[in-house]
Amino acid sequence: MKIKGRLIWITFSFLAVASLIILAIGFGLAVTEVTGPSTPSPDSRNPSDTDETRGMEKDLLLGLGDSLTRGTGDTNGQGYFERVHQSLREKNRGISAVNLGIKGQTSEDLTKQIQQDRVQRLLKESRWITVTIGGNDLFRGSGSLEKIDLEKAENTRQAYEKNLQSILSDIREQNPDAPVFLFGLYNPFGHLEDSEKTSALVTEWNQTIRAVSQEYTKVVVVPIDDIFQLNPEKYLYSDHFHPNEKGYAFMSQRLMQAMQVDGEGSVNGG
Amino acid sequence: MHNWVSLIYNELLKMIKKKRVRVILLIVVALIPIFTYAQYRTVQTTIEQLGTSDWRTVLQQQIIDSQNRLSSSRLPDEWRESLKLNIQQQQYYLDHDINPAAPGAPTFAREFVEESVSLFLPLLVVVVASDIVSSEHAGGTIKLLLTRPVRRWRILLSKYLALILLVSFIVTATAVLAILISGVIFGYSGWNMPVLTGFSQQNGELVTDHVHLIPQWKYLLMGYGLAWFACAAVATLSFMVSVLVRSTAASMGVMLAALISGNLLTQLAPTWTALKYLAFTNLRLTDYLSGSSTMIEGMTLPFSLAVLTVWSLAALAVAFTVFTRNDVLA
Amino acid sequence: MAGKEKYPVLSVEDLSKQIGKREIVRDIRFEVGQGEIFGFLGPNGAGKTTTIRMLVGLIRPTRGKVNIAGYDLKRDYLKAIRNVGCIVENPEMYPFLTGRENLEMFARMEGKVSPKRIKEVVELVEMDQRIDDAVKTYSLGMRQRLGIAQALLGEPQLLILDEPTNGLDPAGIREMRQFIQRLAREKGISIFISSHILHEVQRICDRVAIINRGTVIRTGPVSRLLEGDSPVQWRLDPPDQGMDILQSLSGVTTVERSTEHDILTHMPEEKISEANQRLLEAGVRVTAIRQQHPTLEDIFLQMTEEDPIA
Repeated sequence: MKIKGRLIWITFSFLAVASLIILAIGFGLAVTEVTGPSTPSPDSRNPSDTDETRGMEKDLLLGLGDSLTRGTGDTNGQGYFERVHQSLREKNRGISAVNLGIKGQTSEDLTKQIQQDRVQRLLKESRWITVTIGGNDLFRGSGSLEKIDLEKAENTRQAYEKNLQSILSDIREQNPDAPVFLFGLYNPFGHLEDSEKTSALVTEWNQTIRAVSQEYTKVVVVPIDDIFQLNPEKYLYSDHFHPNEKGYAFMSQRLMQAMQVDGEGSVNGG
Repeated sequence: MHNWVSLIYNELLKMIKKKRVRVILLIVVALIPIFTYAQYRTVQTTIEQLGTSDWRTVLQQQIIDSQNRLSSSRLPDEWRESLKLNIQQQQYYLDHDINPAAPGAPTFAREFVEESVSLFLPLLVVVVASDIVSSEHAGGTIKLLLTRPVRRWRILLSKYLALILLVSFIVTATAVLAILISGVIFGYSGWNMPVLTGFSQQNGELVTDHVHLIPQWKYLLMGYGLAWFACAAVATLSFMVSVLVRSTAASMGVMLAALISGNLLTQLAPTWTALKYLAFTNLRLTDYLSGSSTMIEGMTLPFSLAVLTVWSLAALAVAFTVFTRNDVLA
Repeated sequence: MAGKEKYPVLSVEDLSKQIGKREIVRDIRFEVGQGEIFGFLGPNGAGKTTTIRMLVGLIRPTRGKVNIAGYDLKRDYLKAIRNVGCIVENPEMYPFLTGRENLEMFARMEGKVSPKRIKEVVELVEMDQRIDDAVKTYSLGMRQRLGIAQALLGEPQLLILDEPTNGLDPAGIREMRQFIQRLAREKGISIFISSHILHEVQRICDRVAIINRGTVIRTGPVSRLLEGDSPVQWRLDPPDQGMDILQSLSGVTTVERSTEHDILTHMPEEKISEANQRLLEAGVRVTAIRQQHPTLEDIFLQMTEEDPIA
């Protein structure tokens, strides 16, 4: 016959042992997690995680580029990208989206970003790819606003052309099928005195974008300069540079139109 | 085998009957609502300042704030590095549309363990661990304990195992209480929220090659598992001190001083790399999980685990040698 | 092992303990037989507690051997200690547990104790009324009894009690004495009692060892120790002349003037008549001879004072 302990303390002891086992398992998991980078699935989201990640990997909308993709200037932070994502989701709940846009990114930065493992993996999995790039190149690389240095602007444009080619080649290399929607540039300074000069530059760069995109299949240029041409104040954020929510709404409308065409399968690279 | 169960049960019974454990749980129960409210206030203040409750804007704002701090020339280099890493990480959350602070009890519990692993939890552990042997000396019961037909090392080992069980219980109870109490305000959802992990550092760069998402419940399990290891190391050191020092107050004092100076030193002298060989500078194990930068260069999870293990083994060796060899004088 | 032969339940050989440079206990040896009540007497600080702690394994001896029920304490610690129940100094229990929880805890460590045995010892020490109260509510006497219950749990052959009457009131002391005698007589348990108050144990001990400054200065049955030089009180006239005569006699150990007419001597009983005759021959009037019965106290004081070295 053994001496029995009180039930409550025996229960406590069992709870303590259970805690020990659970925590030891957690500890073991954590150590393998941190030390062994054996989990080779970065960015692959658990299908059951949240509803925004629910769905097939092949229904991925990928956003690349600068602050426009990021959504800077939109008061609710959505930008064109999240609006399009929401619209797509109304038709198919399984569509997921990854926004890789980085504020202030130039074409040079994007060529590097696109080399990253995780970005390349995402590119492979994408069904649609949207790109906004060039604004930062154009308005930083062309001298100050008051005094546009034409020679410098030309050098920057040539560099941009090369970078854009490199970006589109890389995208196609990773994913030959997904349509790429490349936004054109717009002139945020159309209301200023020097507007002729800046407009000329934007037009020239937009021509570059069209020319480069024609070299690749399934690259759709989505022009937006017309929206901002007549009444830029109405569609620009208070920083006079980024679009506001109305501007982004327009951008998303344009993109949806372009994607609709894609849905009917009648577009062949510009 | 039955003998072991009996011995450990005895020690557990003594510990929980002593009210200390109940006091500790009460402390946790009393403090968590305060932490919860503090967290709630922080979120509210941020929303007020930004005029929005959208976390993307909040995160963007945080990034901008950090960038502004970066441009200040008075910032020490060490801080600059960790700030840069933070920005990169926040940017990553933003890029992947992941809300790092999605309110919810699991998120609170996750942040709670990340903040409490270096001081709050160890303090609780020190309070229970430091009197485990010294109280037997102080109460004179050591004479009864050591005149049983049980070898001294078995008695000490049963005490140690009981202590580890109790520490496990306290860590789990803290997690459960944190979730239950904070959920009243934040709600109980967010278990499956994806959390990023797998960040590592090389030469001050945040290496995101192995970054991936895991559901938050798994992250919680791992975070509290790491906290448990840190607490077990603290318990082991307190255990040794408790064997060496006959008075409970003194042994608690020694441990508290060591614990707090360990915390202070990492903040005061982050360039003094020799500090990384101390036990108490290696308690922030959850940082390796969340990808927060460590204060001292060259610290990795295996390194910290090794340091804690070596200290613990040394402490056990000292404790067992002293306890089995020493005469029990009045 | 339960044979009829009287093997020593406890035997101690050349037991010594040195702490630092000081030798606290030196070359102690004695034996305690089965069912014997053995007194271990000495003033405070004589080394009693150190010796007792060595007997139960709390202190390692520097030299010497302790044998309990035939097992060497050092080599066969578990077997040896299983046969001992002890209270070292105060009967300290866990105050936050009840009496029963305390006993259950020690029983679990003992390994083979049944719940029935717990009930038995509780009844034996008459604690059944209060056993489920927390120990911190107990009086000293109750704690002492719980301590004995604890010591008896494992049915030991040897019970070691360190100052068992410490802090008890006279009634408690009497009760304790009776209890100890009953244990030895009815259960055949050997009992080792240490004390510094001699008359308390004098009546119940079969044999005693007297320790002073770390060494045993005498061992033997109480009756034998009480023999020998007993104090004799003389009333003489003239006292000075009487004193000279007493001092000249062989066998008389001390001669001192206690009052104006009274002289105290220590001498063997058989010498009293011879001394009386001598005094009368010399013309000293002997008004009274009072032989006092010696107590251990007297012997103890006499011996510890006689022995300034060590």
